[in-house]
Amino acid sequence: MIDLLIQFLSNTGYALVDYRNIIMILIAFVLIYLAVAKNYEPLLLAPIGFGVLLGNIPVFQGFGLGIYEDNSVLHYLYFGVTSGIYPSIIFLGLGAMTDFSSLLARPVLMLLGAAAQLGIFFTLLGALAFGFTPKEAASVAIIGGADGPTSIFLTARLAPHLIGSVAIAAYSYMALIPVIQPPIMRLLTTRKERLIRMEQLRIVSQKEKIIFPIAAFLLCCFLAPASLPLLGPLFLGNFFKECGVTERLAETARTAVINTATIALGTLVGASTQGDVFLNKQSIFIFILGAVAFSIATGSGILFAKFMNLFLKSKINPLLGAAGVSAVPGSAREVQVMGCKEDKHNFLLMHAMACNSSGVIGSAIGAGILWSFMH
Amino acid sequence: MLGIEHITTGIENITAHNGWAMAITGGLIVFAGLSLLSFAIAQLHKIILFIEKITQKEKTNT
Repeated sequence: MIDLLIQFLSNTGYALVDYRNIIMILIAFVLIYLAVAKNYEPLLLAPIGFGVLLGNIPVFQGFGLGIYEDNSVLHYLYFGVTSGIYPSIIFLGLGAMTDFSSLLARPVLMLLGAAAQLGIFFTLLGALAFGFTPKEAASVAIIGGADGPTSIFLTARLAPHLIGSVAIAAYSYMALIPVIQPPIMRLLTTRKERLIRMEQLRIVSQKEKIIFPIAAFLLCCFLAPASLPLLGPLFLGNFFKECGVTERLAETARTAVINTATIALGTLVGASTQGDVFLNKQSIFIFILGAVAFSIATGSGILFAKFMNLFLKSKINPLLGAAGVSAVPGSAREVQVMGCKEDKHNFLLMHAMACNSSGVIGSAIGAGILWSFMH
Repeated sequence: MLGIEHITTGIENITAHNGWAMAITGGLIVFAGLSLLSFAIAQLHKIILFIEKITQKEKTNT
């Protein structure tokens, strides 16, 4: 009986725990704190934080419990992450949620979404300079797109061993938008520029809204077919929303479907960060490069807006450039907050949402391009 | 990251893996793609108006 007790005790988490598991559990507490107490992207950070706890319970190898063990439940569920299924489903829901009218009303704002994607390609260079292989560098660079599902999708294709680090970095920086973006916005704009008021947007017809997802899908996917798994569901979801005869499908996509995929993706990405796999030099580099990527993306959007103002009659508020990253709707909200600080009656939100949604399309195209470059 | 033996870091690593070309080409393709899309959707309402005018003319003629 004592032997049985000793054997049981030696298989408990208390006996098997490693200092790396403890560090990861502390990181999980920080993520959960940010989600619950600070309300920073709670729908993402809460499942990820709990997932980190889940992945760092020390388990006896061979029981089929760990996420990296072939026959475990977590491993089967994790297949949705490594195969890119969950990101595609999330894009379907995102499409069914997104209103592209502001983009249709002022298409020129799409260029700010394109400019913000420069962060991806600058970071590609940075990651290569840090010694990452091209596939790893592309996976790290996509953090600059500030789009969690896109980052996970590309990393699953190119460097699956980095999924945990890339996803945590991408989602952490998205959650920290209120901390990261405002200083860059203030640094790169003058008060006079921040006070620029945007013209009222024209009313967009329903016909335009119906044609847009089909036209945009064809144009983007003919250009970068590798972005099909992301842009296909995105525009399909938007078509469901706008066509007027599939409201039930759109409603399901933007509620139950996206919520299920978000829970699965967040929790399993968190669970993939087992201390022994996650805590290494590469993860630290990824976090550094992720911050650089995010900052460059924000900066290039703002600077491009200023550049466009040299040629435009009706000036653009350069703060909108910061919303060119695809962190929907966090960065658009931040632009609105910053604009309102200077002028309470300056409403930038709808214009910022236009940049945001073009950022989503841009980062998916960027991911497709990087993926095709690596073949 | 561990697979490169002779060149591990710095500008040489970027050059060795064709990084400059990938970054410039990638950036240009994203820009071109979104510019094309921006141009196309800027014309969309004009095209719809044009088609509506034609169909309205046909209706009044009949």
